[in-house]
Formats: sequence, structure tokens, C-alpha cells
Amino acid sequence: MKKLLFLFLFVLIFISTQISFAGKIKKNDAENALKEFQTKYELIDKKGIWDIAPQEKTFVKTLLEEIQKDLKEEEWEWIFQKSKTAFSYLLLIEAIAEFKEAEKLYEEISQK
Amino acid sequence: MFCKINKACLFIFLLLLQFLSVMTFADKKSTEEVKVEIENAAKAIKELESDFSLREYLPEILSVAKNYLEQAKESLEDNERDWASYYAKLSLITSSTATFKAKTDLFKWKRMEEEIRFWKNLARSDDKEKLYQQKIEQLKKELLTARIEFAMANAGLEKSGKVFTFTLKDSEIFISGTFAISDAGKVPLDKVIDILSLIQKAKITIEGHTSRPDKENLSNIKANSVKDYLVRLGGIYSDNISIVGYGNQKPIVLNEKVVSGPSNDRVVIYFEIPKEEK
Repeated sequence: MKKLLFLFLFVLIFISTQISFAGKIKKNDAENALKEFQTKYELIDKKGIWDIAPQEKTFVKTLLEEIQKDLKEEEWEWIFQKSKTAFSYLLLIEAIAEFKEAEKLYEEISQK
Repeated sequence: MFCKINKACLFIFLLLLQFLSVMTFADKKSTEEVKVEIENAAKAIKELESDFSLREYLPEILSVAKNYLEQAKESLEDNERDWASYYAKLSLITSSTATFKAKTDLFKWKRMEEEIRFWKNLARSDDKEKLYQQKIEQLKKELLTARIEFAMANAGLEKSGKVFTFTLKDSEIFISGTFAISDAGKVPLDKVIDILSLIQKAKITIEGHTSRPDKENLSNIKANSVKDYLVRLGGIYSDNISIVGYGNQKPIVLNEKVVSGPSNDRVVIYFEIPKEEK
């Protein structure tokens, strides 16, 4: 009887550990985040503004490589986090491009 | 005995399974590392909020950065270090985005103020005509640049840095066996004239090249023939054109037996747009 109780407790602890450490993110969430990132990535490609922020460009490319590895291993939580992070970098690149354009226009009018 | 060993094996197996599952899901970042990341994210937001020049232009996205920071703190309290690190990173990137958005708006507003100042000066000025004339001149320059670019694209000119190059094979411009300009040769040369007539002060160099040793100075004669056409029919000022005969010193192909493609028997026209005409 004692042995059975011990086994039951062990299984209970095992399941609770699994639940607490298991990823919050499901495959679907990760795929949606990845899709959102890919759409933005294509947009930035079309705009041709990569070179305006070389450091951020490197971060995005590195994250993209990591995501591709994670996809093979089906690490959905990492894919989600990395896609969201890369997406944020893309927003930053867009903001830098807008800033450079505004700065250029301001300089042009100041020279009049 | 067998039963006892079996139970012990099962226990060890379960223990191993438990250890592996904890290792798999364990956070990669240490608490200290995450704390530093959260501090950096908080510092970035604080700096942006305390920047006097940007304070008026803080965008809505800054509240997103703040929200991420809060989520990072909460995740750390729950000992979810990887999530805390992730939110801290997002907060930092987003506050950088907010900084650039604020700076963009700052420049937009400053530009509008400058525009207003410019037009106010124009309205108050006694010398309005002069200012309007300046505007007209500026617009004329823009139109001229557009026309030059169009003509250049139409003529198929090559551009290398500031220098424009137009290469013509002998067979394209001269009547066979002579160095008189053929009817077919007038077509590309007229395109060059169209461009050069737009750029009055362009300094032009015409180079003549041959495929064989140039004992009779034919390369010079070819270049001179083209210069003569540009001056006579194009009205280009003669002093702006210099000619050089290189003979066969600068071949562009090694096998002259190939019928199509570039030829060493050629004339090359170079010119550069002077600064004041751009």
C-alpha cells in the first residue's frame, strides 16, 4: 500500500512539473507570429531599406537563420519569441527609414 | 529479489525521465542576466521620457514598450526567466522604435516651421520678384535634370561615377572604307547632340581607337570626323571638344575575328555634367 502511495505521489509530481515547465506557446501561435514576421520582411525587402540600419539587418538575418533551425526541431516557443523579436526589429528599421527621410527633407528646406 | 531490482529500475527510470524533462524545459538565462536586461530596458524608457527635446513627440508605441517592461518584471517574479528576457528585449527594441518615431515627428514639425518661415519672408519681402525668380530657376534646374536623364536613358549612355560614356563602332557610324559619317551613324550622334545641347558647358573628349597599329594616324582622323559632325550639325562649341587618337593601345577585345559584339575599331565620346548644370 505504501509503495502504491509513493508511486502515485511520484506520478503527481511528475505531471505537475511537466505542466509548469511545458511551453505556453502552441504550434498555431508560433506559425501566426512567423507569418506576421515574414509578411513584414517581404515589405521591407520591397521598400529596399535594409541598408539604412545595418546592425538591425544583421540581427534580423541571424534570427531568421535561428528560426529556420528551430522549425526543423519544432521548437514552437522559440519560434514564437524569435519571430516576434525579429518583427520588432523590422518595425525599428521602418522607423529609422522614416526618420532619415524626415531629416533629409528638413535639411533641404533649411538650405533654402 | 527480482521484484526489488525491478522496482528500483523503475524508480531510477522515472527519476531520469523527471530530470530530463526539467532540463528540457529549463530556462536558458540566469536571473542576474535577466535583471540586467530589464534594467537596461527601463533605463531606455526613462531616458526617452526625460529627453526634453523629444518629450512633446513621444509616440503611442512607447506605452507598448512600457507594457513589455511590466510583462518582463512579472515573468521574472514567476521565475520564467526566458520569457522575462524576451519581454525585456522587446521593450528595448520598441523604445528604440519610439525614439526614432519621436525624432521623425520632431523633424517633420521643424520642417513645417521652416517652410512657414520661408513663405512668410517671401510675403513680407520687398524684393518678391527676386525670390520668385529664384524659385523659377530652381524649378528650371529640376526640369533640365529630368530632361537630361531622359535623353541619356534614351541614348543608352553608360555612366561611371560622374563621367558619361558613349561607345560607337566604326561600322555603326562611318561609311564603309571612309571616315565620313553614314546616314545610320547620324542617328546615335544626333542623340548625343540632343544631350549635349542641354548641357552647354560640358567638356567633351572624343577618342579614336583602331584594331591595328595606327601608322597613318587613323584614330585621330576618326575622332576629328565625329568632332566635325558635332560642331557643324550639332552647334557644339568647338573649344569644348578635345580629341585623342589612341591607335591600338587600348583594345577592348582580343579576338577581332568575332563579327558581333564590341570592336577595337571604335570611337568613344566622354563627357561630364558641370556642377552648376546639375
